[in-house]
Amino acid sequence: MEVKQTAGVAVEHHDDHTHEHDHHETFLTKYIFSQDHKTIAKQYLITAIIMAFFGMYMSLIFRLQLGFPETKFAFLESLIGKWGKGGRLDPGFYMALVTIHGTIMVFFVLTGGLSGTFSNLLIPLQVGARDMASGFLNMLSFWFFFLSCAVMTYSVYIETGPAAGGWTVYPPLSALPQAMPGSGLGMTLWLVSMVFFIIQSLLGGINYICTVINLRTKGMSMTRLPLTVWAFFITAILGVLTFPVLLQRLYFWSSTEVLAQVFIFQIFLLEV
Amino acid sequence: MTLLITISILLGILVLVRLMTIVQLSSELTGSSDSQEEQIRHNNSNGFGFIVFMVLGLGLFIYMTIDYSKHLLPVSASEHGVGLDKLLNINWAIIGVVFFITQIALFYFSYKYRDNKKHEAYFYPENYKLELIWTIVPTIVLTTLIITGLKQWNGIFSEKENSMNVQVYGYQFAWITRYSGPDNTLGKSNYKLITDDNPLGLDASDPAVKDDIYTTGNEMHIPLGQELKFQFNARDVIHSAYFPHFRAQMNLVPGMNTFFSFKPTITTAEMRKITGNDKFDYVLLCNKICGVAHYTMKMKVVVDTPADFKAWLKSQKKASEVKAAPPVSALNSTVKGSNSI
Repeated sequence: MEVKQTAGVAVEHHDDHTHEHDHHETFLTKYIFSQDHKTIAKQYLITAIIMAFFGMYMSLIFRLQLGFPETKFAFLESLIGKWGKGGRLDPGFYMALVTIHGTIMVFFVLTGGLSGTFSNLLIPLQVGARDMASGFLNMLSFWFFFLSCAVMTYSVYIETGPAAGGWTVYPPLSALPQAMPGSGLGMTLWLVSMVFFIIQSLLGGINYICTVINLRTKGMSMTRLPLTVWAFFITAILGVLTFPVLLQRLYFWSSTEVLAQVFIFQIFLLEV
Repeated sequence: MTLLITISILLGILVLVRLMTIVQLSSELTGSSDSQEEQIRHNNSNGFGFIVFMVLGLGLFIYMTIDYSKHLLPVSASEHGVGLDKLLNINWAIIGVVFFITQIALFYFSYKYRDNKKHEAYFYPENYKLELIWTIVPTIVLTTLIITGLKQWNGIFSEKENSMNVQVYGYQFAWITRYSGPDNTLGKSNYKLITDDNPLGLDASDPAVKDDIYTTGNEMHIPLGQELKFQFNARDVIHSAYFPHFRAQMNLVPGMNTFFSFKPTITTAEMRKITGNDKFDYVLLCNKICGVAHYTMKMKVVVDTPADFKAWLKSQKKASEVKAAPPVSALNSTVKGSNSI
């Protein structure tokens, strides 16, 4: 019981603190480039929900095709143009929808949306901290997330279609434009988006870890931490351990794609 | 038009914002109306809702399990598959029992111990004995399941005697099956030798290639009761060879040899009788997204008696008909010279 009270006091104090600052904050610093963990949590929530709707809408289209393969849906042509000619979903675009749907759901909703929203909202409240260890990094983390979402959404609307090799993007299918049309510009944009995503995940993860380790209120020992905070903490550690490896790989790959496949594949083809 | 749509969307957002403000203001004005009586009424209806949800959910679960069981795969047509099916069924049984117990407990207790005048919330933070029990029991059960699974796995991937070597070769978007012939050795191949007449890139200078036979149509046959060792190779991207009726699947990775062995135990004709479907055929499917026409990458598999299999094999393409290509060493220099993909 003692612990609960201490945490409660800290939370109240925290509210007072933000209230004081309300008066000399502009709209831009309060709602857009906010460094307050609650506002950032809401920003994550709203962005992830919009992405979730986008992903759900894609699954609706490809599952209509899957469920009724013989039926023609006239609205598809007006909705997605050349990909739905004659009311039938183009097989290549079907793959693209599956891929982008999977990517959005796994990365932007389940990884980014859930962890970004709930870690940001609950960690400071439940450990009794005033805010995250670094409000600025936290803000940066959200805006990298937003950038990543924007690039991924944009990639759906390019002429050759988005990445289509499944969300696990196994090369060589996803690496060679000859293997399928989506592996050209679509794949490059996918990689760029993922690089931004991993940057946001790292910035966020480091912040969560620092907050849990350093900013616990008096009396809140690690063994007294709520299970939710332990879950966020372990998630953040796992993310920080695994994502740099993936980032390095994706960065190398995307720069290869951007520089017209100068490095890996040319060398690979010459040496074999 | 676009301007109109934009304006209407903006106005819509504005209306929503105003509505939310009104709701907030009204709730502030009326103050908190949650009296204790009302709380209890809420708890009662929610508790009852839990029970309704449980009955509906579990009822639907039972109905769907029975109704959809007709779409399940028929009995396993391979030797190792019988053991796998048994293991899967044991898993299902354990998971099913635990599922029912936990779901019923979850919903019933939420109903029974809802807050009302009779009960009050009771803070019960820990019970080491109980926690020990629910940690150790699942650990033992899961370990047993994993060990049995591992034993099955080792059995499937152990070296078998008298197995016939067969290659399954995948490319965008079809399959070729190559049989090793009387010498039971798959001859050498090289992707640089691939031409229209030589889709597998067979190296005619290798004596082991001479008696190899490969399929040209979209149908492969395998002999009943013969242990088969499949070697999987891909030409272009990663594929996955999936034989659902034989409970077998293995990835095909370009530049790598992967293997899977199984022994077919039921011929196509017998399986047609078992399923009561005289159009039934075994299939080989690609089970990894491999490009735009991935869904068309499918081959008919026929399990024959050994005599029928021999007769069918004669109708297939012989590797000895492949023209001897220049030696690979000569090819290397020409390929190295060109940089284009």
